[in-house]
Amino acid sequence: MGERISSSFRDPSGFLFVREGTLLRQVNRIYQQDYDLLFSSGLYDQLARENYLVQHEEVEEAPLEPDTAYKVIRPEKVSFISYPYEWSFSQLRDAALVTLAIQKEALKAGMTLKDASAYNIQFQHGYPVLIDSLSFTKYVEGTPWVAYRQFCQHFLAPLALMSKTDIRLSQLLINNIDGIPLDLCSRLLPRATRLNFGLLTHIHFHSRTQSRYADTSKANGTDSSAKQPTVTKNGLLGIIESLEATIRKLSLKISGKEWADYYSDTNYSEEAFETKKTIVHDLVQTIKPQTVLDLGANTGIFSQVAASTPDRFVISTDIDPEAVELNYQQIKKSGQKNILPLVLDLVNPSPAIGWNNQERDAFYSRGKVDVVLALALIHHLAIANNVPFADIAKTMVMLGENLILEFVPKEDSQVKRLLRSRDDIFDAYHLPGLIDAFSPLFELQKQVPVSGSQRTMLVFKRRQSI
Amino acid sequence: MYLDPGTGSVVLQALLAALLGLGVFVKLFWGKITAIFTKKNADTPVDETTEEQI
Repeated sequence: MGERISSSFRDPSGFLFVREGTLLRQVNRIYQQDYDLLFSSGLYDQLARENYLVQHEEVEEAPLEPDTAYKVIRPEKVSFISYPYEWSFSQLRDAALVTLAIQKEALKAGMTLKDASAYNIQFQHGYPVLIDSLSFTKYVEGTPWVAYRQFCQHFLAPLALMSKTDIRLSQLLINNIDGIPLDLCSRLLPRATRLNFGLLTHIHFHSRTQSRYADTSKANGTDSSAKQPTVTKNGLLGIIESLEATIRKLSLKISGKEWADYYSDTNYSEEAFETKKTIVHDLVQTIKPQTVLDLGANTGIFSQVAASTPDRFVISTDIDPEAVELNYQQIKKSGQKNILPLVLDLVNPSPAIGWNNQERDAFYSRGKVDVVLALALIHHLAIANNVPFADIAKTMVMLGENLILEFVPKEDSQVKRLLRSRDDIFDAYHLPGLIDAFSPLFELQKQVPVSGSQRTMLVFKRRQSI
Repeated sequence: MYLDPGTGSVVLQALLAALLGLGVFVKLFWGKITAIFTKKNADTPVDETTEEQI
């Protein structure tokens, strides 16, 4: 009994499956030696100590496919699965650096990472961790790093593009499930990046050698089993250190445009802003949720309000990658562990991608939350994007049990700004109109005016009949 | 090994390893040399303020 996870098929070492709601991993006999070496070498303990690897325990569960099975393990549950195209620059950067740190530890223990997929990294308790305990194999002196190309495609290429060309290019990862092709990256990077030793070698030269040796008969004569070139251990360490230095040097210039400076640019007085914080805090507190999804969170000020108790987990999303970047930098600095900032465009949320469209789940199918926060968001959806209230209600009911929504009326300067350059075709855009459109799906529980502004905070609960 | 390392990527690694491995070697070597001196100096702690005055 149990069902194999649809994305878990590439590596024959084992696979993930779900049995009665519990996520388990079958380790196959083919991987037995490497699995045992992970423990006997002390690498597992070392990585667990450093908080680099999600911990797991061996369990007495029956394997899903007994013919090939060695063991069954139960990995610690990750709070929320997110993907690299939803991460801000620094999140992807930290994920890349932890991958390299793990590879260094592995080499010290006589092992090596056999893959370096960004999808193997997840954010848990605020830190990036490797979630695949089967990623290690015995290191053989003289052999190259099998995952070098994958590392460059999954990490270095998107980071370089975000840093040197445009922050939005991380979205190329949605169309390229095995990372951004290096020839594409090389073409999109500015010429000046050829003066950067790391980018010159790991991206531009790398792309060039790839196309040069794409035809293997040219590379190795007709004999494809020709001897592999030697990569000494010091050489391998040199490559890893060079990747690390290159990534550390990449930075992001925050322009402060769009909504990233939203909070200094609202019609909220400081006093009304504090009032709004208190209202949100109190409303969240009465519901006592375990999980909160903050939509249009900007730099996450209200996510922090919602995350006031450590056992509460808040997913903090915004369309603007710079706002998400600031959000992540802030929680990293403050050490807050229960907020996960993610880039999410509500008008075009992350789709399901990969083989049969079943490898990476769509954002909306990754589980419901207890409370959805939609603060100062409704006008962006209803006016800037013409989404009718009834359709917004349908999406909200799909995402969570409770909804705290801030209604921003037409008299508000933010709405006026959106309507300045277009016809006002939104006759039904008013508070009674919204309550009316939401009522088939939601029960209105509370209505609190935000004093000092013309806005209203609404608390909805999903109707039981839905 | 279930990933294809890619012939071009392996060739590049061999080239980079030859180049960058030297750096790692020198760094290790340098570390050993400086370790000898720092060990020696450790016996006679230097007072920084007096050093500056000189």
